[in-house]
Amino acid sequence: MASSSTSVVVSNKEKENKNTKKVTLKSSDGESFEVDESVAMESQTIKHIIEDGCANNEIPLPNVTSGILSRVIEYCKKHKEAAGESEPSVTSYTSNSTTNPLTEWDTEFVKVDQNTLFDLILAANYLDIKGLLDLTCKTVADMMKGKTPQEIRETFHIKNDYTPEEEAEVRKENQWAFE
Amino acid sequence: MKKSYFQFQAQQTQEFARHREAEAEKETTRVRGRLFERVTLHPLDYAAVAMSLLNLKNRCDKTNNFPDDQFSKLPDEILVSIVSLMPLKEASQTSILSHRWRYLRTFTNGSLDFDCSALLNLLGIEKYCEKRKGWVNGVLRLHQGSTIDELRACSVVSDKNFTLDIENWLSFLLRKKVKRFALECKGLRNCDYQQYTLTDQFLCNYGLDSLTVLCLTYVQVTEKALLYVLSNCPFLEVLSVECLDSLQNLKPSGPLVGLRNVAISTSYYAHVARILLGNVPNLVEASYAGLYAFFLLRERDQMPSYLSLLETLSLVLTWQRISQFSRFPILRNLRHLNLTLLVMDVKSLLGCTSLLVAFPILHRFVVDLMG
Repeated sequence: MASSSTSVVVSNKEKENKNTKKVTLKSSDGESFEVDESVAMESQTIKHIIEDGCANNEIPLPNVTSGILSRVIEYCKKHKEAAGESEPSVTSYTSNSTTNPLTEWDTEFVKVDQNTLFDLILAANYLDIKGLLDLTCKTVADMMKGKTPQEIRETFHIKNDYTPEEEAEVRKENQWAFE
Repeated sequence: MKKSYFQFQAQQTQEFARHREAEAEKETTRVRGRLFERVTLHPLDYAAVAMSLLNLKNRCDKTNNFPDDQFSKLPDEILVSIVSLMPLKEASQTSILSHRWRYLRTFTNGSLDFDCSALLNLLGIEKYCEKRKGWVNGVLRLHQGSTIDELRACSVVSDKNFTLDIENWLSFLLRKKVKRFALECKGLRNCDYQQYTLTDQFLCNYGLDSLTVLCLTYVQVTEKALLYVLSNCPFLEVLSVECLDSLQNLKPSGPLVGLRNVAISTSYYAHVARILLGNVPNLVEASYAGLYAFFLLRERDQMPSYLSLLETLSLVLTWQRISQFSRFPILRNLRHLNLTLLVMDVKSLLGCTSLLVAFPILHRFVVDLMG
């Protein structure tokens, strides 16, 4: 499965000309995905498996379904390409922002239903992909911002299991937040 | 005879339906005398309603949460990450969501931003001080994470326990290895308040090696304290001490390798002697105001060498001072210049053209006029 010559992907144009090492990832429902090794290594979990020399055949990912895995691979591919093309950006403390050319793409990427979003968080956590985890967590945090607690409960179907006395206690504990 | 669950259900429903039918009969009999007729439902419709009610009840009773609670899939650490991405007030409100969420936000390592300006506008001064203290102390007391990345507090106005409060916060933060600390004490104009003074006796009780950003505005800092900070924070990148009442001398002994951004200013007519930062190889941004800025520009031939590496410079000066210069020190790397001019009466900005000559690769020039 591994080709005899290995080389790091430098840019899109050279991709067709060189042989790149590939790995196969297997989802929990048995579907296999062949990806470039460099793309797969966006995941620290997979990176460790490959580096430990345990990736002979396929890498099984029992916690990730095929639907989610294909999305994760899409994310990794896109970000790997972008990282290869641009220089690292210098951030100044006062400007307080990092230039991320993929902001628009990322925003579209997380426009999914809640179930998928949460499954993506779980997958990013399991596969240890920091960028994806930060992106999905930020999306959920943004969904929660600006809503009252009752609205948050309704959006995410959280059951309020406080007794009225407990609830009053919690409000008192954080009284400045509820004013 | 053993009944299956569904048969049992069905029987319940039938009994319920019969009961409803009987009730409906009674109802109809009772209202027969009235002008309108009450329509009774067919027993099977009653059965349908009853069945769905029973199903709903069973589904809710099966688990403690609604079966759709999205967060039940995620481990606590991820919930903590999500909460730490929210603004402080809303993050604290999450404690009311359910038992699981009650203390999650106290584990956040991220940044705590206490913006007191909104509070100050709403309340009178005494109530404000009380609230502000309660707020910050409440959040800090419940904090359980092992580290804190950042704490910003602005519009913090003093009351009699001010010094004690600030020292408590600082010692708490330094023990938790805070990386970025910003404190702005200005609250009300013309208010007779005592300013907090940061001394080196206080600082030397704590390890400062985690500090990368320190911003103090309207906080008095002694020279020894500043020197202590500069010598004991190997990773300090940003140092900003603004609106000091006085600064006599600042001369650190060793090189300041990490420092990239420095801002030192005094209130306008305060006496200032010399600031000799020495070897600052990575300084890219500097901000000076008041008399010190004036002295700096005046001694153009004896300018500190580190200033020649600057990329961004911010100056606050009066128009009279600027217009006294015909030549400015040459800064070959300067790209951004922010000039804030305190003017009473200015006819033209032509005097600034000599600035443009002194900064050959200037890319962005911002002028703010304050009357």
